Amino acid sequence: MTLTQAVLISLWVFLVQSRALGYATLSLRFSPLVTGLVVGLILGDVPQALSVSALLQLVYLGVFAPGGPMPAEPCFASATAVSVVLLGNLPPVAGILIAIPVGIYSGKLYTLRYKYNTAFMGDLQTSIDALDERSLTRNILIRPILASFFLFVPLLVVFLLVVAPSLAQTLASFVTPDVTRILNLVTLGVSIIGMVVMVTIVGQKQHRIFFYGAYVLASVITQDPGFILVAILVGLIVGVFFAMRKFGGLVDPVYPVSSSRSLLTKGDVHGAWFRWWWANEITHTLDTLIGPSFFIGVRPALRILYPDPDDLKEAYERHLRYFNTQCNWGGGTITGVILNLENARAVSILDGESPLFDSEAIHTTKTGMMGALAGIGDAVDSGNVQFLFIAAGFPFLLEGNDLGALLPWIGFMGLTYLYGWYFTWHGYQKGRYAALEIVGGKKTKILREILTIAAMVTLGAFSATVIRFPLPNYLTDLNVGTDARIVATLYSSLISSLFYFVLLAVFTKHGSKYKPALLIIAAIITLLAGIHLI
Amino acid sequence: MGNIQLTRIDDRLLHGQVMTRWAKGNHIDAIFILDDQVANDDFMKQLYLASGQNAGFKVNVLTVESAVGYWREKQFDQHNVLILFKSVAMMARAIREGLPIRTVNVGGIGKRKETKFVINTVAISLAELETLESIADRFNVEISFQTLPDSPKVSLADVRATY
Repeated sequence: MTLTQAVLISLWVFLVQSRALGYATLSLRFSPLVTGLVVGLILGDVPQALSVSALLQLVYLGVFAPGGPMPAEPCFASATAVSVVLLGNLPPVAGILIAIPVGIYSGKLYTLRYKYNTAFMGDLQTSIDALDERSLTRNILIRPILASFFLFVPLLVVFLLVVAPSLAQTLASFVTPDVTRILNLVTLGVSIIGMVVMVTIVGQKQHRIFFYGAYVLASVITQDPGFILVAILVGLIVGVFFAMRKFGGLVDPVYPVSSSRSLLTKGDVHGAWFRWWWANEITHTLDTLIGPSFFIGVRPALRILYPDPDDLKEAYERHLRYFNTQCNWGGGTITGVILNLENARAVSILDGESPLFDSEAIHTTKTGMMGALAGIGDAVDSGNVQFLFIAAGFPFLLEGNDLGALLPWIGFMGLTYLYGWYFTWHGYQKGRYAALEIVGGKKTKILREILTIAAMVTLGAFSATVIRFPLPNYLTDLNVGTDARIVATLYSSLISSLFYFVLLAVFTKHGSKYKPALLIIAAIITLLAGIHLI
Repeated sequence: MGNIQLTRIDDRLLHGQVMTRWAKGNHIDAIFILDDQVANDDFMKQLYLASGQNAGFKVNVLTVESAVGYWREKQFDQHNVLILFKSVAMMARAIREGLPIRTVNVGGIGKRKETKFVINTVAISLAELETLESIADRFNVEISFQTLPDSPKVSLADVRATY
């Protein structure tokens, strides 16, 4: 590990942890894949790095917390785990030993970022009063980025240069074939928790049949992970069929549409979307959460709308208040809706009438909508869409192809940018009723049903093809000739099914609690290993 | 007869965490949002009704008065309910007016002037703390502070000690 390599890796991690490249880096908070690829490129062993990343991704699939704080930071964990594995030429699964503690620790470190941001945000009020744009930008964007830099980079550089090599050496002697076997089993068990958590969260009870059906079908037809791509396609088609059957006949109510003339061009509105998309989680304080990011998004539009400095200051103040929502469904819709309201207000001022909507009304609209939109945004984007992309990349990942890391990242980013923009423009044109449509309208209901069914089918195929318990040695040694593949598949499915059965029953009865689940799978693994079944 | 499975104070009402982590897997089939302001705002009411439906729950948005009435007359039918309040004040009112709430989870309140953070996601004022304590004493309600089911659960006594 050279200094240059350590610095490069740390800079990448800094970019992701600071969310400095907008949603491009924020979306990576759920996935260790691209970070693994980057570290692999820097250290010169991409296939090995991707193997580690794939295993980490399996572990993290169940850990995503829609709308909640991440319990771990997969990027940090992935960077350290992949580095250590590559340095020590360890079996990929050894990365788990690093990733889990580092992930938990970096989750706590990340909370520190919020505290620093809050402390260093500086006095925005003076900047508002003076309409000092550069000072606002400095406080809202530059300072948090710097805080992240000093929080993560030195620590990681030191870790990579000093700790990682010795850790790699220690593990090289510690990770014997027996230890590797145990780690493999643990990883498989934890991955199943992830699958089950997703099955219980992503779909409702009536959707589980798609999971079971796909699982059985995939187990019977093939063991090839490439089948996942087929499953996604089939899942989407089946989803369309059932969704149209269930919701095709719905008619949306006709909502009133506001009709002020527009002072903003489509380009202005798109600029607001893009800037929100970028600033999104760069600033995140405990007082105002990501309100200032919203401000960064709408600032240029506000300057167009309010030529009078006093009106502008008032607008700045109301958009620097407490606000937090999901990037695409929430941020997109609300950016559009708020610009619609501000536009109407600005027009009324220009026309010499009394201003429509006061600051409080606009703020209440924002905060009233942010929860509902975040609810659907987190569920769809993190729960369905991102998972579908990750699953689609998996067959490539398992072959050591970096498309497995790039496809999910670029695909997810690109698609969410497009529909986030759609929400923004829709919100701008229709005003606040756009939120009602986006949360509960016919198109949304159909889309959600399609994605849920597709995700359930994909979960089934994914579990059947990727999470496979290997036959114990004494069974593989038995000569069963050409039926060997069938025996292996049946065996693996039976063992996996035991886990699924127990976990699903426990989760249904007691809720999806991670810690008890870990104990349960540890117990099952110990039992099965004890009687030499795995 | 229905059941109040869980009561939570969260000023963002229905969002990701609430729907997926708190409501699912606790035998809850209905979410009742109790807030006078929201119940009287037709637009917001529709928004939350739509949100809940998405996640497969029956959602009701009620004023405190109609919720108490619903309990008195029909004990919430056969529903296992998650009750959501936006504020300490609403929760206190509902309990004083007779809703048989035994435990309250304070999960999310944003920072306003004169408030302090007592857990990562909850900032309350001294007055609100006192209201919580008075409700806990007078009505024998167990009040705790917890963001997610997996987060550490902080008791009212601990919060008072460090306030």
